[in-house]
Amino acid sequence: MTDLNPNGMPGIEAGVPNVLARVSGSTQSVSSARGEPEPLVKRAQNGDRKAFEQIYREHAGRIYGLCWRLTADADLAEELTQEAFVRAWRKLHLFRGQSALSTWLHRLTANVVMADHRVHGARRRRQLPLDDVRSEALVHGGRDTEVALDLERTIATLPARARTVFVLHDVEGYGHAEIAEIAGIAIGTSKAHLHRARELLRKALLK
Amino acid sequence: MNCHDLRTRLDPLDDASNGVLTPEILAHLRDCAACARYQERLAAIITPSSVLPREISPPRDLWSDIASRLDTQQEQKIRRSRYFLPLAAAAGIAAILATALLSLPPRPHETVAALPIQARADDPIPARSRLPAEMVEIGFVQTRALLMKRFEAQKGHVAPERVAVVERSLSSLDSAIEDIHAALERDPYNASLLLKLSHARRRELRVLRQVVL
Repeated sequence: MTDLNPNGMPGIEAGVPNVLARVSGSTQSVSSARGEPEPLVKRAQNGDRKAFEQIYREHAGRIYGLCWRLTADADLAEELTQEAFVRAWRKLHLFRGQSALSTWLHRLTANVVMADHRVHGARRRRQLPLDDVRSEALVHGGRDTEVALDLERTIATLPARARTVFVLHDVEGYGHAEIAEIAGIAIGTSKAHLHRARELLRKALLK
Repeated sequence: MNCHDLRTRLDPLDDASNGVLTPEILAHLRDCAACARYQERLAAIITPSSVLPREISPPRDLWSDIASRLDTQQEQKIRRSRYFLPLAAAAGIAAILATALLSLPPRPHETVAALPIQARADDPIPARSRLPAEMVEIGFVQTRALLMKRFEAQKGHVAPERVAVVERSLSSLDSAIEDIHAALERDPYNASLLLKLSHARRRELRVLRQVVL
C-alpha cells in the first residue's frame, strides 16, 4: 500500500467523488493544495469559529464514518467525532499545510479513537446492533446498499483489533507502518490482524 | 465450467493469476445468480472501499455540542489566565522573601527576647542583620497593640462570655507564640517554626478583629 494522497487514499480515488456526492453532497474541499493552508483554514487558525464550523461541515461525514467503523458504536462514534473536532480546534495552529487538511484531520481522528481504545478498550468492547448497521447503511444509499450493508455488519462483528486494522488498511488506505504507529502495535501484528480480518469476512460473507 | 471451478478461479487469494473476469467466467456469472452474488461479495471483501461509502453523515448535527465544548474550554482558559498572574506574582514574592530570610547572617549569640521586636526608623540595627523571627514580628506587633487597646476600651460593651472566649484564645495563642520563640532561640532559621509564628500572629489578629471591628 502506498502513502496517502492529498485527498485521501490511493487506488480508490476514482470511485470516491461519486460516493461523496451521493452520500453527503460534499463537493468542495478546503484543503486540496499542498504548502500553505487554505484561506478558510487560516481563518480558523486565527480563531474564526465560523470558518471552523465550515470545516466541520465539510469533514464531519468522513470523520464520523471513520469513528463509526472503528468503534462499531453509533453513540461512541458521535462522542469521538466531537472529541476529534475539539482537539482539531486546539491543535489547528500546528497544521502547516504540508498535507491536506482532510489527511491531517483523518490521522488526528484515528489517534483519538485509538487513545479511547487504549483507555476504555475493555469496557467499551461492544458490537454495533444490527438496527444501527441497517439505519446507518440506509443513509449511505447508492447502488451497493445490500452488499455494503452485509459488509458493514460483518465488519462490525470483527474483533476490535482486527476491525481497526481492516478499516484503516482496506477501507481507508493506510499502510501497515502507519497503522502500527497509530495503534501502537508492531507492523507484523498489523499484518496478522488484517489477514485474520479478511479470513473472518470471507467466512461470514461467502458461506 | 461449474460453480466450484468458477469460485476457485475468482478468488485471488488462492492464486495470483486468478480473479480475472474472463469471457468464460462472465458467461457463467450471467447464467448463475448464486455465483454472481458470490462474485459481488468477494469483490466487496477484496476492495471494500469500492463498496463502502467514504462518508457517513452523523445522525444529528454535532456542531452545537462541539461549539459548546469549545466555549467551555475558552472559559477555562480565561479563568486559568486570570488566576495565573496573581498566583505567579505571589509565588515570586514568596521566593524573594525566602531568599532574603535564608541570606540573613546567623547571629546565634542573640536571643529573640533580648531584641527589640518593633522596627523603628532610628533603629541602630539594620534590617538585614535582624533575626528572622524579628522580621516576622514586624508589622504584627503594632497592629496587635492597637487592637488590644480598642478591645480593652470596648470590653464593657461586649458580652462577658464573648470576652472570656477572646481572652482564652489570646492566652493560648500567646502561650503557643512563646513556645515558638523558645524553639526559635535554639534554631533561629527554621522555616517551619517561622511559618508557625506567622500563622499564630495572624490568628491572634483575627480573634481581636472579630470582637473589635
